[in-house]
Amino acid sequence: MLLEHVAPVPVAADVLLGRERIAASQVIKQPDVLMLHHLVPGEVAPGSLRPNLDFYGPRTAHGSSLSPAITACLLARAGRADEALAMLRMALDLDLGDLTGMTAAGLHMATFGGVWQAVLTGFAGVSVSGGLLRIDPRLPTSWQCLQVRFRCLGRRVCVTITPEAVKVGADGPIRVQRAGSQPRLVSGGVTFRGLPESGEMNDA
Amino acid sequence: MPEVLAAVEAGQDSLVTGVAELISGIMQAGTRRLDVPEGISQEQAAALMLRALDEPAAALAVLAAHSSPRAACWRVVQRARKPVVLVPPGAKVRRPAISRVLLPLNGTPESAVAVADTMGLLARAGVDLVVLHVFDAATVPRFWDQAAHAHQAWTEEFLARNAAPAGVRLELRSGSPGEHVVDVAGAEEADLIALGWSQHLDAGRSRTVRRSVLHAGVPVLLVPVSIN
Repeated sequence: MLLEHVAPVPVAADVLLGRERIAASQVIKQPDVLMLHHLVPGEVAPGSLRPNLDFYGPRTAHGSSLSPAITACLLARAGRADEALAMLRMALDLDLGDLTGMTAAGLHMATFGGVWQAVLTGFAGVSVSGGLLRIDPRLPTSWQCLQVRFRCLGRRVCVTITPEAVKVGADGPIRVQRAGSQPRLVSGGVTFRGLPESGEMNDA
Repeated sequence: MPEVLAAVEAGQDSLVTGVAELISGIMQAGTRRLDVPEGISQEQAAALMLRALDEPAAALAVLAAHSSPRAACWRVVQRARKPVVLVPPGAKVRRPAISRVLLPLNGTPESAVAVADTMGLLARAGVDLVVLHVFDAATVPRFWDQAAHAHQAWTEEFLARNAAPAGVRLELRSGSPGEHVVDVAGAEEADLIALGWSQHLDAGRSRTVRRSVLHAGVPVLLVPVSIN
């Protein structure tokens, strides 16, 4: 039985078919293996994100409200930004479109957090380690520009991404690395020219 | 004074009139008996019942259910502009009163609106109301997080949207709506099933209607969605 034969995704497959039946199948609510890629990307085998997305994607019901945003983040990191955008829209619509049927009982704040992570670490490709701000963006083809503002390494940072360039502004000196280039100390602002790399991010 | 019309065919006397009197008690209405002559066609019988039901005083009709889709009862329920109660042969009718009613709701505003007045009437009469919602591929929630919390939150929200009277209980099932209506009606010992429906026997929910009428063994109140 293929998931697509059960009901359109996302679907609470365990509610529809029962836990026992789901437990005996390959259908999964949200893949824990993919959460490894999200939470500890440095601990997984290099180059394993795409094969894991290919394997778990068709088996995932996304019946958890946390699943679409995290999947969007991972798809973006894997260089599949248009697929990621579809998942991001699903996450954005979760409360706005009352997809849960219980939005009146309260908003899904963890989904909001997932959306922010998808935008910041997925599409904008922002990561911080060892005192270095790394940026490796993946824009969907329909996006002309993405701008995110955040705080890291004690600075207020603004990153503006277009298909042609990545512009980084900060309110103080900060070490920045655009993927494929050398780290540099930025004070005020800097613009990295050139198309973003396609394909999986280095740490994935 | 509103009237409950008891359309009596030969051999159906006690069941149909008994149910009509029970419903009259809830509605604080009178009961009017309409004897359907023997020997007339099913269409003529249906036309006779519909004419009587169209009279201003008639609020609702009670008639015997038959399995044949060409029977007068199915012609009436498809054309009636007022609620109709179908009483299957051998229906269990517990006197002295209808104390528990099962209301299957599919979650659409139409089905909820159709039975909203009925629900209010029954609640005011002190009847125990059990709402049944069956998850199938079309109605299953798209997301269901931590099960215990999701169940409670979803139940509260479903009742708030679909069942205004306080004290209504919700039963959730997954699978085929028709089968679960019959099973839950039995398990809950419901005296009556109340269903809003589109009056199209070929439409999806008619399977639930036909199965409920023919297999639940209790009277079924059919409320046309178009009424409200």
